[in-house]
Amino acid sequence: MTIPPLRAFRITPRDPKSAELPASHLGQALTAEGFLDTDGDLHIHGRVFGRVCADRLVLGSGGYLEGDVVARDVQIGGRLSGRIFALNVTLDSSADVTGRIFHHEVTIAKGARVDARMPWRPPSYFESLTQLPEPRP
Amino acid sequence: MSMFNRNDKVNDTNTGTNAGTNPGMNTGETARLPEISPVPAAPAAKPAQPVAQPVSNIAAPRNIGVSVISKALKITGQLESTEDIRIDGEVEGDVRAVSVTVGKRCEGQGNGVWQRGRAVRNDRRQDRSGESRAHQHRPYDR
Repeated sequence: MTIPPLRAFRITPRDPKSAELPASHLGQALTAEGFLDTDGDLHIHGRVFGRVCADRLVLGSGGYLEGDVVARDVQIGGRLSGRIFALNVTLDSSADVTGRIFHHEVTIAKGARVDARMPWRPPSYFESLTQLPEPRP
Repeated sequence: MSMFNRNDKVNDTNTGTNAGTNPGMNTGETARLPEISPVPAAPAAKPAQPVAQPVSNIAAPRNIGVSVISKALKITGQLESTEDIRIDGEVEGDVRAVSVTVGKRCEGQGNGVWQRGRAVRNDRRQDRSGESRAHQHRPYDR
């Protein structure tokens, strides 16, 4: 399987007047492995192992994601083990995150379980993100 | 009393009395406050602010089990579900599910059992793509 190139996300929010891309739902019965790339929204309530690139990613409270996330907006309500590369990161109170959160703005609700480093990056970092850095221990 | 001892307890009792409808009890509780904590009663006597609950705006879909791969999503890898999958996007890899519905504009290659624009039951694990891996997978109990 060839690794698809990293799909960079746009820094600016999508124009709401433009044609809305339908959101994708991965239900709680679904297990996906591999690379998930979308320009629109992605809601994950199941289990995903691999790299996820989206404009906006929502990990539901029952969801589990293992791997790297590249998105403009990331909202985590479930368990995540891996790295987040996102301008805006929101961790809900039910979130359980292990790894690294590369962010520009982060919001963490009370009760969220976060075992992660959270390096701040300017927006230009995400703009020029064409290759993910090697994971470090 | 260490500096880390928060007087949450005081606030709790205060909240309880404020919520109660008996004003007589309220004065009694306020008078007892200094026994519980040396903190001045003035801040504690304020009506307790409701704890700011983080508003979760994760939209819970009606049917959380059904998966929809919209036309904007491309998946390179495997999909496995014990429920239905609807694919309008692009899937490169194996798809295993109770039923797979493939939209008209779907693209895909792999060992999933589907035909363009038709709903296909995946029970038999027929393989239309040549390289079969169907024997490796046990069908789901239905």
